[in-house]
This record gives sequence, C-alpha cells and structure tokens, in this order.
Amino acid sequence: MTVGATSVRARRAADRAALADRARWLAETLGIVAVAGALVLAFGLTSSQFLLAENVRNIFVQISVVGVAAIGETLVMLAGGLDLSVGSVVLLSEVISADLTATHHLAWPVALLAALGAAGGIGLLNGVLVGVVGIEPILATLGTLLVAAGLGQLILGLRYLQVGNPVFNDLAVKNVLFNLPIMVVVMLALYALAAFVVRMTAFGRMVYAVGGNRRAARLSGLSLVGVTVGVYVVAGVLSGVAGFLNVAQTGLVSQNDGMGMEFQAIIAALVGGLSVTAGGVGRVERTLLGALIVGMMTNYQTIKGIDPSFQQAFLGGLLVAAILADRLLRGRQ
Amino acid sequence: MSTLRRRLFAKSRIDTWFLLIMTAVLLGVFRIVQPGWLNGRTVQNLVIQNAPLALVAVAMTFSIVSRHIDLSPGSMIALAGAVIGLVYTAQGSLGLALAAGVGTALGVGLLNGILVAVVGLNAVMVTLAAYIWARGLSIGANNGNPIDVGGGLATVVNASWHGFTLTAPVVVAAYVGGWLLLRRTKMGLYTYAMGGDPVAARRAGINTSLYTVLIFLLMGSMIGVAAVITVGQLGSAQSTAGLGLELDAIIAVVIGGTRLAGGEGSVGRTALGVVFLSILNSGLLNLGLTDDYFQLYRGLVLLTVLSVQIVVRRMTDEEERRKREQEQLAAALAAT
Amino acid sequence: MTSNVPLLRISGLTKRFPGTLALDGVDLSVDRGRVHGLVGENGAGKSTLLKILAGDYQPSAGRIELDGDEVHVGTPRRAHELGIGIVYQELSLLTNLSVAHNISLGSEPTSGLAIDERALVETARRVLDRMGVAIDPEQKVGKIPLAERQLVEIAKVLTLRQPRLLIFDEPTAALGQADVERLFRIIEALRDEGVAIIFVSHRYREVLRICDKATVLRNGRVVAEVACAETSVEHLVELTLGERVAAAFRRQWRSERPGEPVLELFGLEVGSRVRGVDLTVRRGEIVSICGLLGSGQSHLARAVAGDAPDVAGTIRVKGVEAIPRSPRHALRLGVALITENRQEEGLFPDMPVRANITIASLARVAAGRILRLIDPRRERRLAAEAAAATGIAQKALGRRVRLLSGGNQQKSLLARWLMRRADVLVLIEPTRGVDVGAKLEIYRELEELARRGAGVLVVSTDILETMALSDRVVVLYQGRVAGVFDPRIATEQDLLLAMQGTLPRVEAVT
Repeated sequence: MTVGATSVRARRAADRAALADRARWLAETLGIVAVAGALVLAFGLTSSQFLLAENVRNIFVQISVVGVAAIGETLVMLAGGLDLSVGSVVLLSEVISADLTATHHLAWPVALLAALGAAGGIGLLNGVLVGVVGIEPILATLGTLLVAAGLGQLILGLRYLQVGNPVFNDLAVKNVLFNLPIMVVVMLALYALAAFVVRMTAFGRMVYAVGGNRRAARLSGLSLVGVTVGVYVVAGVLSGVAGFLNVAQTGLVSQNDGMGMEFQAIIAALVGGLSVTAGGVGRVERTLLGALIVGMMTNYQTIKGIDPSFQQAFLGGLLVAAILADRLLRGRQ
Repeated sequence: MSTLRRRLFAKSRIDTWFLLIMTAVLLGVFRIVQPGWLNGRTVQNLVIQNAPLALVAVAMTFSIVSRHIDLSPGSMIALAGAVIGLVYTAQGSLGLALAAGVGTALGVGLLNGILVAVVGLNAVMVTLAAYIWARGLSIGANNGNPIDVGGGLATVVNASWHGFTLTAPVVVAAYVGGWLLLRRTKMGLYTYAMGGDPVAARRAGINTSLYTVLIFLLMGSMIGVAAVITVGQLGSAQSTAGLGLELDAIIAVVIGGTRLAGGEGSVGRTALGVVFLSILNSGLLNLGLTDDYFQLYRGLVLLTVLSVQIVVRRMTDEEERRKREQEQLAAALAAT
Repeated sequence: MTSNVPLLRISGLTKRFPGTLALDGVDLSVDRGRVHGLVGENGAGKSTLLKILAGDYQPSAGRIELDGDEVHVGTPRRAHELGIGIVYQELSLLTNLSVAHNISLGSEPTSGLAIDERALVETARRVLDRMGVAIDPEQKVGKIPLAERQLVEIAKVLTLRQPRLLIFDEPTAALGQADVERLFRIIEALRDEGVAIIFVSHRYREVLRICDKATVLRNGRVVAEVACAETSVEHLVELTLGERVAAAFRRQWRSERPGEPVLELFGLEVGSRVRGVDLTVRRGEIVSICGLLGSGQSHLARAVAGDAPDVAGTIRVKGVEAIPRSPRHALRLGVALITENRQEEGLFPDMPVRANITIASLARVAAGRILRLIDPRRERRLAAEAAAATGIAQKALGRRVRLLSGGNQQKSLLARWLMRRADVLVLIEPTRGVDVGAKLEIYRELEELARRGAGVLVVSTDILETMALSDRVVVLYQGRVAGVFDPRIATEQDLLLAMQGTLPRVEAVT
C-alpha cells in the first residue's frame, strides 16, 4: 500500500469528515430533543396548567392512538413508500372491535384478534398492490382507503356505536405505570419493540436497505416484494391496534373516526426527523418524540383556548417547518 | 388512411381504448340497474357538480406531467371560498370578494411553487401541509359555519340556458386553453421536459424554477375559478368545500392514462378520466347507495382499473422493447 | 488584435468537493479555429473541467476568460449565451420528446405565445442535412438507436446562435467508422469557421488525428501539453498513466492447474446486444471482457448476474444449468455483480460501511428462523474480517459509506461479496472513479479473490488494466467474440485491432 504525503493528508481529511458527520447526526438528534425541551420550558412557563401531572397524563393518552399508528407509517416511509389508508384501517378496526364486543358480546381478545386480522388483511392488500402489481403507493393506498372506510361504515351501519363494556374500557383507562393507563404503556412498549426489530433484525436492516437504495437492494439479493408486503402488513396491523385502543378508551365509534389520521402520523414521523430527501434515514423511536412534540403543541393550544381549526392550520405550518429543516440538514437529493 | 388507422390502434393507445371501454361498461351497468338515469337533467347536474373537479384536473395534469403532485386543491378551494365569504361580509362588494378569493388562490399557489421550486422542498409534503393548514383556516373562518354571499353570485352561476349553465363553457374553455398550453407553448414543452428528465432540462438551459412556479400558479388560477363556481352553486362558502377533490383529480389524471412518474400525458386523456370518474361518482350516487357502499364500490373500481392499467402497460412496454431490440438486431446484422 | 488573444483561457482553475480535490490549478488555453484535445484517465478531472465550462459546476478558485474578458459561467443558460456548447458523454436528450424538440430545446422559435412547430422542424432538418445525417426530426428520441442519438446531441450544439467554443466529450464512443468520419468532417468544418473546439476522448489515435494540441490531465493537474503532430499514442499513454500504474501491477499469483469451470456460457444471446458468445471461467481465473462501447460486454455481465431481459442460450454455474431470472436467483446460484454505478446500484449511502458489507449475508449474521435477530458481535467480527481482506481501515467500518473515497467504496462492495462467498464475481468497470493507489489495491484484492477459489469476470474498457490483471482477455465486437488473448503473449495493439473488428495477427489458445 502506497503511503505518501497525499495519502496521509487524504486520511486525515477523511477522519475530519467522519467526525463532522457524526457531529451533525448528534446535533440532529439532540436538536429534536432540544426542541422538545424548549417547548416544555416555554409552555410550562407560560401556562400554569401545562405541567400538572393530570395534564401530562392527558398528553400521553391523547397521542397514544396516533402514536401507535405512526410506528407503522414510519416503517412504510423508511422503506420508501407511503400509506394513506391508516385512518380508514383504524376505523375498520374500531368498528370490528366494537361490534364484536357490544353487539355479539364476545370476549375482547377475540375482538382484538378479529380486528387485527382485518387490519392486517388490508395491509396485505396494500403490500400486494404496491409490491407485486406495482401501483404507486399514493394511488394504491388511496384505493384501499376507500375500500376500508367503506367496509368499516358498512359494518357500522348506524351513525355511531357505543360500547359500554367496563373490561374493555379498563384496558385503556386503568392506570398501570406511573399513573399512566394501559394504552400508553402499550404504545411505549410497541415503540420499544419496533425500535428493537428495526435495529436488530434482518427484516429491519432490509427495510433500511430498500428505502436507502432500491436498485442496490435488488442487486444485493434482497426480496423487494417481501420487504414491501411486510412493511405494509405491519402498518396495517399497527393501525388495527390503534383502532382497538381508541374504541376501548372512548367507548364510542362514530362514522368519521380515524379520518386524517394518516396525515397526523406522517407529520409525527417527519417532525421526528424522518427524511424525505434521503431515503432510508430515520429512527422509529424519534417518531415518538415527534408525536410528543405535536401532542404538546396541540395540548397547549387547547389549554389556551385556541380554536381547533387554527390548531390544524398550525399543524400544516409545522409540517412545512419539518421538511424545511430536513432540506437544510440534508441538502437537495 | 392507413397511417390514421395505425395511429388509432397503436399500442400506446391501448390505455385510451381501455378507458373508453370501461366507461361504456359503466354506462351500461348503470343503465341496466337504473334505466332512464342518463337524461338531460342528470347530464346537466353531472356537469355542474363536477365542474370544479374538471378544472382542477386540468391543472393537475401539468403538475403530474412535470413529475410533481398537488394535494392542496380541495382545501384551497375551501380557503378561497372562505375569503370570498369574509370579504363580502365585510365589504359588501361581490366584485372585491371574488377578486380577493382568486387572489388568495393564486397566492397559495405561488407559495407552494416557491417552496417546491426555489427552496427545493418535496412537492408531496408541501402540498400536504397546505391541505392541512388551508382546511384549518377555512374551518376557523366562521367556526365551521357556512358564510353567506348573497343571491347575486348564485343567480349568475346557476343561470340556465337551454339546460346548460355557465359552468359548461368555462370548463370547455379551460380544457381547450389547457390543451393548447400543454401542446403548443414553451411552457407545455418544458413541462414535459422537466418531467421526462429534470437534469437534462436544466442542462438545456431551461429555467426549471420559473416553469415549476408557473405550473403551481396555473393550479392557483384554476382553483380560483373553481372556488367561485363552488360558492356560487350554494350561495355560500362551506368549510367542507372540495373535500377529497384533489385525490379525485389525481385519480382522474392517472386513470386517463398519464403516468405518475411524469414526462408524458395529455389534457385529452385527463378529460377522459374526468368523464369516467364523473360517471362513476354520479352513477353510484344516483343508485341511492349509502356512504359505505359508495366508498367501497368506488375503491374497488378504482383499484381494479389501476391494476389492469398497470398490467396492460407492462405488457405493451415489454412488447415495444422487444420489437425495438429486434429492429436493432436486424440493423446490426445488415451492417455486418 | 483578435488573433493574438486565445478564445478560451483558463488559469488556475480549482474545484474542491467534500473529500476530494477534483481540479488543482489547471491552466488551459484554446485559440479560435483550433481543435484542442483533452486526455486523461477516468477520475483525472476531465469531466469536472467540462462541467465547469458548461455551467453545471462552480469553480472553487481560478479564472476563465473568453476573448480576453473574464466570465463566470454559472448556469447552463449562461453558457449558451456565451456561445459555449457541450456534447455530453452521457446523453442528455429527453427521450419523451421528438428529435426536433430536443435540438432546439431551450430556444424554440415562437409565433406569438405558441411554439412554431414548422420552424422547429425546419431548423432540425437544416442542421441534420448540414451534418449529412438522415434522421426523421419528428421521431421521438426514445425510439431511435444510440448512435443516432449521439448525432442528435451534436446537432443540438450546432444550433447555438453564436458558437464560440464547442466541447465534445467522448463523442465517438458509440459510433461506427463511417459515423466517426462524418463527425470529423463536421468538426473540421467548424474549425475552419473559427470555432474553438475541445475534444475529449480515450481513443488517442483519434485525438492525434483531429487535434492540433492536447492537454494531459492526471489527478486534477495538467501534466503536459503536447503538439499532436509530434506525439505518438504511446507517449500519450505514458503521460496519462504517470507511473504506468497498470504496468506497475504484476500478478503475484497465478493458478498452476486449471481449476474446475465455475461459469460456462454457450451461445449466450442477450437481446440484440450479445449474439452467441461462448466463454468459460474457471476457479482461480481472472477473465476480462473488452470491447468498444456498445459491443455487448455490459449486457453479457448483467445477463450472467440475472439483471438483463431477453437472455437465451446456456449458462452453467458450478455445473448447474440455469438462466438467472433475477439477482436474487443469480446469488443463489453463486454469481454476484458489482456494476459501474456504485452510487446508484451498489451502495447504501446512509448506512455504515459495516452494514453495507453484511447486507448480502444477513443469513450469516442473523440467527433464528422466524425472528432473525442480528448478532452484533458476529456482525462486527465478520465485517472486520472482510474489511481486513479488502484493505478497508477498521475505523471506517462505523462510518456512513457516503463519506468514503471512491476507492474505499469500491472495496466495500468487494468486501460484501467476499463475505457472501460468491463463486463467480462479475465486475463492470471496477476502477472507474478510483484514485491510483486504490486501483492497485483493488487489483490485488481481485487476485486474492481468485486465489481463494472464485472465478472473476471483469468488464473493462481500460486495455492496460485488463492486460495486467487477467489470465485471459476476451474481446467482443458487435456482440460476438472477436478474439481471445493471453496477455502475456498478445500486445495492446492486438486487442485494439480486435476491438475495432479487424482480425488480429496473433491469437492465443483459450
């Protein structure tokens, strides 16, 4: 190996570049945490209600449903896709859970299994349409959005359905850990599980590969179809869980449930640092942070009495800010 | 004559033929299930109801051909409508209100265009953000309640002459204008160029930023007109106006045969797509289906059409490629 | 006054990219009415220099003068305005538009708001006639063959309003002899009209023929400027290579006995590009495939690795007869591929080097049938082994692969397939964009892979590289085998002649 003056200089430059890269990655992660921290500070100082234990609990409860759904959306986006059917699948799952529990008086595990089966089925359909048939994710999941919503509303029949089952309700509401109800714990556990799977399993690695460079993934012998179908199925199942949790908590299913949830999930993922310019860049656990940030903002705005429609307007602005930050950090691709 | 025949039946036209057949099938099915459905009255309603969709679809063609996409039209129509309502309520002048509404639509279009073309943000996300914030603002304008704009506008928009309202010629004008713009002008040519190969387009000296912004402005202008029509139809600005319109527009363009990947497509194809979609929507609605079945059937039909389209396209692409290989082989053999 | 000032004068042009210095103080001047050659191997800085002149890149330092005035070519549009036209090597035509549209792209004739289609076609027809080329201007570019597309690319440049400087980047790569002659006539005509021309090519014979002077670039620096009438091909080659890199490489190991055949091709056909090729690669062998661009080498390589459509004939890997239907299938058979586009088809830019190496061997680092948990320690160990064998520094393993130099990136890919234990490794242009030192290391690693029992198939347009590296060189011409050579016996000239389609004097035994 030739060791000359240029070689040493090149190696030092490479070391510096690597260090700069590490620093940038660290800054990015810390940046999001810093933003969250700054928000906590700002909100805490300007509102006496914000930091109350009761309110903190509320925030976590409020973000649980979207939080769980956002895990699946993050996975799909990491693999380079998009899932617009999340909201409809949540509705479908809610309806099935509620219907089986309230109308048919089945035990809740049965209802859960059925709901997850249906949700997973829609996810499978998504995966096949995108991965096998080759329809663009936007269009395919749009179609399944309609199908799932239609099915959900078909089963629902009436305007709304009430579930008065205490066991069912306990699932969501009973405090378990640190005064946090089961549903929050489930969300946190799912995030931990997802982070683990993505980081430590072959499947997770393949998701990053397919999202990072599709052609290279193909030439490396990975099964594009397998990964694509896999992420959409997982997203479907997780949306199913989200739906179950939602109906368990509120005890009520109405026609418009879940509408727009996919966009909230996408925003949570993007605020958490998922990149749209670079494929396969992002971490599942950061979506949780993103969901928390969005949740805190929504909560604060509600406390301050800001109209929900303006809150929504603000959310759109937040999305722009998130992708702007992504662009500045990662440059044009 | 044979060239005409060849062009009509060319492999690339299979998409169009397929769509025409599907439309005919749809019509047939609806006629069987509900005979007497398609009469003068219903056609007129069809045109009125789907005018905004048709207008947005023209502009969406440009967006998709240039390899972008726009998810904001529905919310923007609601926002422009709300501005019309608010200005009318505040100032009492319909003219001013309409100008303000159209101005808003153009302004949002410009904003989106700058964010995408100059700042370099992803079009899906930028327009998704607008989808969200514009809807929020329009709901917040009057707490979700409709804003009345008085009878003047409604009279004009709904005025009927021999069964046709003003919206029909407006839509036709938009399509003719859009067709000319895409086929005959620099802007149209550059739209194809940017969609086909953005790097090559830039290399050729085309100001891609400028033309991208223009495409978003075009969408803004179409939205302005659509908002006026929407507000006029009911005589008030609804906060739920245009819900789901953008997705319908995208579907209309894609089903018409334009690929989402960009670089090819035409206004004519979009027109076909809009007709198909309008018939599907109105026909299903007319069957008296409840919301659930309506969505279900719509979703299934759309997925089926999209899937068949892709499969057919793959087969013809494959065949074309093979044919070209044969030609090259023959040429190579002839040269040796 | 005008004749003394060169049309183009570049002084001290420098261009820095994160991690590399592409151009280092380049001086160059071209007079009007002269053809100036630019030579250098891949990665020497030629295309960077051209892209700066064409407005694609901004220089980090230096001065560009046109007719004595300093200019800043910031955008392609500005380049057009200044009268600078460039015919790119990678064609930048829009396949979804017609020939006429492509030729006038960016400066279409208009009548009012609309484009004057008739004038557009007229312009195209005029230019094509002037070039002596018969192409239908209304045909879509996507439907015409590659050689014709290159001519359209040239026609594009000829429609500039006031061409002052025209740059041709490897224009003859896909042209047959007749087309090359036609091109030269066009260039000579332009020269006589007073246009300054820069001609970039790897075909030194052509450079010496058409150019008055030539500048040799090496590692981003100007190494020499020669008068073409007084130089020979050999001298240019020597200047380009510097320490004669490829010649500095000598095989340290060769297989004593011929190993078992690990890849056999009989009558392989790939579409219209490969028309009946027989080839055998044995364990421990490095076989190279050479040919002019368009002779079918890349298609052959991809077909063997499952990445080409329309494959017919017989392929046998380790005795198993099968035509690989996908890269996954090919890998199961034992064939791995490294393409010439490591950025687009090889690397996962934001994943660490370690992950890039292990991505094709997840079965070896992950345990369990259902869960497939990755064992981090096992992964680190195996990746470190592969990295050590391919000369990648251990501390680089945790870094994102996009930060590495071209050479190290290529080594990461080698490590990937080394870890996968591929029996047949197919490489297309393995040292493209790789610096001199790394090239030698890569050659050595390929030799090592062969020693460990793999069969190595290299597709390369670099003749010296292939001759130094291989046990056998197969030359393809128009999709067929034009000759098989033993590099220890045959000369570069034999190979070059075979590549041109002329039968060589000496032929070696397979």
